[in-house]
Amino acid sequence: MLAFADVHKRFGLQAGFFAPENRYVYAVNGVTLTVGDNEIYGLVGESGCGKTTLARLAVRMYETNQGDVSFVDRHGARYQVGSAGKRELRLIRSKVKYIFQDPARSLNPRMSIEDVLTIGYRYSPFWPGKRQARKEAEEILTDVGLQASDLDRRPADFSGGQRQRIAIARALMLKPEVLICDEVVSALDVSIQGQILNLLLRLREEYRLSLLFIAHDLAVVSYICDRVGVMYRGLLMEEAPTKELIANRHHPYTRHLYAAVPQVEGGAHQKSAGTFEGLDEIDTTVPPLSPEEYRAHADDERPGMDRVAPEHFVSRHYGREPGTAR
Amino acid sequence: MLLEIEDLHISFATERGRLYAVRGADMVLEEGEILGIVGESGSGKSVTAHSILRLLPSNGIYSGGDIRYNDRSIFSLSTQELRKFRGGEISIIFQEPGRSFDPIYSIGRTMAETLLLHEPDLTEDEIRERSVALLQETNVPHPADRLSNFPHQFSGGLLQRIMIAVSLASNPRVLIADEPTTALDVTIQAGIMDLLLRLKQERNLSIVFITHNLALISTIADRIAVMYAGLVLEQGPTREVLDAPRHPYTRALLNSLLTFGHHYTTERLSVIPGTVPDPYRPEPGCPFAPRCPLVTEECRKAVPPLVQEGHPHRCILPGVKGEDYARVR
Repeated sequence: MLAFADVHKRFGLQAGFFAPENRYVYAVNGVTLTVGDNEIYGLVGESGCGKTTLARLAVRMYETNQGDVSFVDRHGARYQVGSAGKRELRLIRSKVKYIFQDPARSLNPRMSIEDVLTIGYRYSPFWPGKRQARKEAEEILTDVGLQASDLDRRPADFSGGQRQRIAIARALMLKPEVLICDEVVSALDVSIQGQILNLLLRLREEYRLSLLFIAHDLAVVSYICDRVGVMYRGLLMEEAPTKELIANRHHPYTRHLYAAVPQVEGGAHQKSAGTFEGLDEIDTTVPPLSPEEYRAHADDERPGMDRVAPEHFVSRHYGREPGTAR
Repeated sequence: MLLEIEDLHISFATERGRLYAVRGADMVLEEGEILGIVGESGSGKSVTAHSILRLLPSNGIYSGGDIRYNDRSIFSLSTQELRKFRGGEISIIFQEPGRSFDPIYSIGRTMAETLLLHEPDLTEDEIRERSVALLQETNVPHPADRLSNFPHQFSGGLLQRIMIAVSLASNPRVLIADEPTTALDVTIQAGIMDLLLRLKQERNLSIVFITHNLALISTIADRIAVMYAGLVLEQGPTREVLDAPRHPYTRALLNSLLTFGHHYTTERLSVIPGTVPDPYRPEPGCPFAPRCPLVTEECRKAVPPLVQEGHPHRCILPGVKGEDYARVR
């Protein structure tokens, strides 16, 4: 459905009086991955690893520097996100919807919920008229667990969990095929988190959605996702079906990350397990790999990664000796 | 008993009316132990902790109860005594270390300020020596070189370590940690937890650790207090609370906790239906009653009193409710 092919993104740093020009922050440094039809693909990593940047490239909030994102819709039509024209981009953005982390800031406080839900619809190629749009909004609102009468209220009347439901409803208005969920539950309380996760699972079935699910919480990602990609320094370190990753982690970074998750069972505090060599000082203004290393990847199916099982890929970089399995 | 909170009530005067933040908090902190306060946002956990240092904003009202430190009520402290008490006896660190530092002061200057406040006779060399020692104790690499650095030159994890160093500068006996790792990555969080645990052992420091993360607190706390809607619903030794929760809310919270390895294809996560009650209009009964699967008519009548059976909890239903809850579900 959604395919990233060797995508790179760097951001220019402001050149100042003392700072030289042409300095960049290297955010995404060659990621290849595919989100399948009706699949939930999870991206995990620590802050600054490039997961949000990558997701934003999928709806072209930023332009890619190299590589491209392609989107294939349910009828098999193929779109190149990077080179799409204005009209085509609008179509892509109605099929690939982005949901943000903080529902308090992503909903305009002065709009009624009806406006929040329909305003994007109005500018899409599919606007059916006001009455029909309201009817659809009512249906979708009840689908996400709110009431049709809530359409006339304003975002301030709702709690954090309810606002996130509204944000999800807004994304669903255009009958999208892919949802990009960027940390959608991290601002919510545990008791509400579960409600939203289960809602997403149900909607995935009902609307036949594919999800790109971004989170820093490993427990959340391993609960809801079918496949997980672990990111570090703008590169994929490991990718595997969730169940396989739960059972078997190959890359030292993945192990390091998973060892740090606190668990209720286990009793006494576990000393944080081992250190990871690449962790200390990360200088993001230097690309993580040299041009030679990139050239060495040229023929790889998944650049820089080895296949260790049918769907399990592990990066050759940052400390994994080839052939070491856990 | 080092610190004792008894039936604390705190409300705020706001434009929307009176907000009842804490409606009955009872807590005890013993010397050299880590007490974890767990609760969702709006449960009153931070307000309770801040009130120990009398750090409430001006619209905060102490409407009942008492806080005693070494058997003396903190409300009887004079302004002078209070200044010594803050930092000297009890220190506090906050969620976002970046916002707790003054950006125009170097780390060294911030530390010197705190040291001088409590020991005005220190010489410049002594200050430097003490600062370096404190940073070393909290595992900040190359402390001597970094004293002249400014807050923005440090990562969040390092800043939190420096924050802890600053809070230790006055040799407190108690450290209040208000969600100190919530803004940090898990790998960095693990390091901070190691550090706190070490400080507890080496300095015999008592720690009040506030968090919304039950899994996190279960790894370091000796005792846990579970807060909901301004009430401490349950309090006891960590293992006891986790293995045999006395309050249905604690059980529900444990059930809704995602543990690593839990995949949706194996079992759907059980969730707590509904939302937290409105703090402006608290209803008469148990605050968890509207969401509780075991609720009875009696529950809705009055705030449940503190029951001492097992460990202290506020639930009028007899027996070990945690188990019953599991069965009902």
